[in-house]
Amino acid sequence: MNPLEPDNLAAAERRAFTMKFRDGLHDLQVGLILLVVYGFMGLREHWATWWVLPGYILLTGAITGGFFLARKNVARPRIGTMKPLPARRKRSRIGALVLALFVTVQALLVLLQATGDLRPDFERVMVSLFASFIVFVPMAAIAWFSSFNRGYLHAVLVGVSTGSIIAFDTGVFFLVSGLVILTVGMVVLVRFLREFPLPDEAAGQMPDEAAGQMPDDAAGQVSDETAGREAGAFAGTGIGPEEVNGDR
Amino acid sequence: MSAADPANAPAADPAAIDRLIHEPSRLLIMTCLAVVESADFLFVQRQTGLTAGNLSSHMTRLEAAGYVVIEKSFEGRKPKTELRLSDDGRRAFERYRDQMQVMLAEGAR
Repeated sequence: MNPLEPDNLAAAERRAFTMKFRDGLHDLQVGLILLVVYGFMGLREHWATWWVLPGYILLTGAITGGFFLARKNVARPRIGTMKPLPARRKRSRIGALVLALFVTVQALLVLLQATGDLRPDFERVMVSLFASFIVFVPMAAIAWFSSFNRGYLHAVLVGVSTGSIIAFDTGVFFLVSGLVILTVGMVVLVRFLREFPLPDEAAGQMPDEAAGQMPDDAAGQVSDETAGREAGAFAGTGIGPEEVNGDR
Repeated sequence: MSAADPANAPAADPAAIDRLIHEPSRLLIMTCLAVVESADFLFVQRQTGLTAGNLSSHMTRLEAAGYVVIEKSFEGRKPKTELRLSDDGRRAFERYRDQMQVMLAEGAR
């Protein structure tokens, strides 16, 4: 890849930004939440009892909390962190706005149905398609705005699962989708852990990091030739190796 | 990032090419830092595949040239090194890309 080409530089930016998705933790989070949804659908006759909704919120909250903890303790020590360019941050904010808009629409629809102001009398299939659509679109938008390719798989599976509740009156699609996404997440996580083992104490930091000082020029000095060789097979290509940087 | 049209640009002088950036490992580092606002040492190391000592040595050179800003801090009790391109560094990288594109276009004629 040639860094002189603007398109390639954009690809390098995308790879740097999507590095955070290479740990598979987000897939595990989504997969587990879908399984929780399936579990609570099995408790349909208990929905009116007081502990169902708090229990659901508590479980999804615990999963999300676990996701942030895992990212902090498993992923960051292995790949480090970066702050995206302002253009990327703006793109992420737009994605969040789209999501917020659709969540508001969904909440309004649920509210209108609950208060009896909205009684859809059109075909069940149409309703299920509409439900799939309003779930799929924001998830696909988030995948697009964050350049997260596996997010499209999540969007399709969750969209189909949502529609299937209405069309077939079953939550089994949530179980299947949850298991598929969970499996993908596990495979990605195992590959991530193999590819990025925890670095030695000093390896991820400036060599005399413990002292909080820059190394002496002589101490960390290597010739340009040696540096080029250490960069390995991708020296001179102008960009990192695909196996390190690849957007999977 | 660059809007220069190599086909219409004047021929580049090879002697004007920034040798500091032209070295493969430093070009990797500059490319990595050009596509982010800032990154920590480990992230750049993972992205470039360089060893810590090697990366550190190149960072020292780039910092001496004013292309890179290195900020050291502590996150709790753990030291953290934040790296980013300076404004001069971004300009130098853009200039380097423009010059190389012109040279490659000239060579292709």
